[in-house]
Amino acid sequence: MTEQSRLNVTVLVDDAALQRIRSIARRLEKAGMKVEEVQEEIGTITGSVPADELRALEHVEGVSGVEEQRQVSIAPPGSEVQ
Amino acid sequence: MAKQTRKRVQGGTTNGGTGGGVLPGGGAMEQGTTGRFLVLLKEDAISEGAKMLEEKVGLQVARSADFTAGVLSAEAAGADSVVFDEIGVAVVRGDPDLHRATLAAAGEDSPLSIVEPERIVYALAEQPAGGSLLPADIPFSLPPVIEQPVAPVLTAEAPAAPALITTEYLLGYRDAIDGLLRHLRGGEAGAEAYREPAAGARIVSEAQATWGLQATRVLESKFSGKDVKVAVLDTGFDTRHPDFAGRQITTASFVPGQAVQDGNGHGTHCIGTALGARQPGILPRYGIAFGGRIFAGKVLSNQGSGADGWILAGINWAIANGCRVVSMSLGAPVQPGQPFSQIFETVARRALAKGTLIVAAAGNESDRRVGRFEPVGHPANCPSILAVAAVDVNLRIAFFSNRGLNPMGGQVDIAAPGVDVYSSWPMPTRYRRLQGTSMATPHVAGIAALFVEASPKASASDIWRLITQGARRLPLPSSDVGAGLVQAP
Repeated sequence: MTEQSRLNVTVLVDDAALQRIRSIARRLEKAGMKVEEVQEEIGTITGSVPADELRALEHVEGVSGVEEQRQVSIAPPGSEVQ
Repeated sequence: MAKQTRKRVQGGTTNGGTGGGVLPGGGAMEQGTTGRFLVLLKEDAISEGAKMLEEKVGLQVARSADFTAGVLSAEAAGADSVVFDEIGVAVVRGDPDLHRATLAAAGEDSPLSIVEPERIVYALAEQPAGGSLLPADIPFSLPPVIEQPVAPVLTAEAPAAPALITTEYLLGYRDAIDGLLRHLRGGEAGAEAYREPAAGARIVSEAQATWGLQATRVLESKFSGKDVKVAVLDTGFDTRHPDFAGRQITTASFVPGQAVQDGNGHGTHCIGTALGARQPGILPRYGIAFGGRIFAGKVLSNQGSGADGWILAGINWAIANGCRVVSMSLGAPVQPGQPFSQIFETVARRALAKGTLIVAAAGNESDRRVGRFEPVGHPANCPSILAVAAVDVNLRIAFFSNRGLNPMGGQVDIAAPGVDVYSSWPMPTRYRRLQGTSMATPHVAGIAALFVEASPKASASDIWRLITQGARRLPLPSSDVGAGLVQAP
């Protein structure tokens, strides 16, 4: 698996599974995800996954959504509008 | 159109002169009123309010909650007062002076608050075919001093007044008012002057405080956001800026390999607006919640970019630290029709449930100078994130400010000063003027902190409502400015 085909993703943990977020993170790793961080307050898990294993994350019990991470930005310094 | 709630036209009267439904009780009747009175009941004390109307005012009270599907007829019920439980309003008959006296005697803790005459409401006439009253491509520039009441009495029987209100009419009206304003101002007052909208000809300079703080009535507020924790998730912060000496500052960087120190300037500018000092080293004052606790989370690199994951890490950090407000002057453009992020929406709802309000910039992708309108960006397009648009010193929508084009949360919720905004900048520059919805957003965040101090028991959703309900209405479409211009409590 080459580095280019990895996607940065955010995984949303279901309301009912928030207490088990750490074990869900471990299951995500077994499903192919490299977990970067677990955000316990908001119930999300961020990391990366090979592109062809993205769909598999959705089937992990306790996961209610998976999104590819977006890039956000502000205008370059000196731009007309910030 | 059919936007009326009721239609009451008696005896061909079209000017509402005597109104209808003349009732016993004898109070002097105001023009266009029914002779009945509306009493506002406090939301949490509707039963007590109903009881007070019966026992203290001596009315027979019927309650909508007692009728199936909330539908009832007061006449059929034989009561002289009806309490609408769902909306907390009673419609009562009788002598208004008696009611007012009763209320006055009831004191501050009374479950009854406001009394006002019930007005006669007419259906608005249909628009003439093809005659859009306010086409989207007309630049709105009615100056803020004009608060022209729209004639409320327009009926099918009345002369077809709306047909006269054409685009040309409005443009001519605007030009005339613009000319009058220029004349009153004695020439070009320039961007340094802010004209207090409600105060006639008073012109205020920025010598003491920025126009944005004046327009949002921050200077008159008795609140400082004292001890309210506010997180600004941005490019970091110049923690050595002299205007913030002695302040309690908590920082964290979520950008791999970069320290919190603001190598961009954007974050320092936003923190300045939201949380800057009451008396900065050099006037004017530019900061709102000078008593607030600063949480500077770096989620954008010094080059000005970031990833969803860094932002979520910042939100998580802010909530874990008990921040009541999170300000995010960042975003990614979305396409018309593109749905909002389910993950950010769920996160924002969880944040609200934990007491944290998230405020985000609507985005700057539009260019209204050339007729280009872009939808509110990610993540401000989530229904549970307060989306902020930008207005200028004349309270016109900023040319770059995005519009609420997408349904389901893609709306603009509120507007704030976002053009020619003066605030802090990393040393040695110290201060800079910028424009963008990025600059509008921390105005709302700082004012949110004032609301939190003013209503310490309020939930985050309550704070949201207080902000939007307290906004100053603007003569602009809500798709551009939401509830209007944010106002300090």
